[in-house]
Amino acid sequence: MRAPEQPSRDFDTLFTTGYRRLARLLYRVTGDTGRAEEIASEAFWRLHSKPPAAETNLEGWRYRTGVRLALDQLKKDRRRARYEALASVFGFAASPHRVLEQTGERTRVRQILGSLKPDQVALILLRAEGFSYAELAAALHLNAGSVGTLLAWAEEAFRKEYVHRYGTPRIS
Amino acid sequence: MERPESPESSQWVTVCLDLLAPPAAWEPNLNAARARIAARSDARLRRRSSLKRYLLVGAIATLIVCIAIPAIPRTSVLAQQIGNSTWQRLEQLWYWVTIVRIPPKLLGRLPRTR
Repeated sequence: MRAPEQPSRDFDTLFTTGYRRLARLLYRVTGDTGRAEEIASEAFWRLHSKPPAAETNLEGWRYRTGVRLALDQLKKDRRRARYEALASVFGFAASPHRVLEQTGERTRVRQILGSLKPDQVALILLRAEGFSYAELAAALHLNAGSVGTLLAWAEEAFRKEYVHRYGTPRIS
Repeated sequence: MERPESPESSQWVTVCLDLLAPPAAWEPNLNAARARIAARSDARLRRRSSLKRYLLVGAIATLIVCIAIPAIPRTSVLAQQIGNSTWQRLEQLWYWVTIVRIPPKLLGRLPRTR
């Protein structure tokens, strides 16, 4: 009988060093600690079960995968909220807590993140997590010289989308 | 390349994202996540090994049948009979599909001979 499949030592090191950071990053998108952990472990599971063949930068791959999964989840939540709004027309009213949640500033910011390109979201989130330009370039496979510009474009896209949806920013 | 944004815009985005910062007291549970991955890994291994076992049993059974049928005279005759009748039925089906169901179209009349 064969021994149960064990994660390799490399994977274990990656997991130990990167899981917490990834989960905290994903919290910014999901707003839920449980879900952030779930998505982070899903990203690691994918890395473990089907490691990218031509990828040497596993840290970057992990962040990109995690952010994409979290954004997918955000889109699903948005669809669910739309159905719930539709259901309220037929007499099923959303709870006050839910209404408050949907109109809060955090939700707005998350909605904007959900509408941007995943690469831009990854850039903005990693920067918010305190990554330096050099770390951003290394993590996301970017040219170190263009990180500042790409980040600035991502931030500008974020601001424009916010203004387009909600008008002049209220946060100061 | 020219940078398109103003410092205020960047600052504002930072403030927005600070709203989404995780609670300071929250510490992701490394052990629970590790256990989850190990459980999925084991489940996958079990699935794979059971599939292999089914394939192996199927291959051995097929091999036994292929050896046993021609080796025993009675089963050999029976197999031949079944094979013949099956072939006949297949032939009939083929004729029905190609000739009876869709009759062949006549391309034109042959010229009359005088």
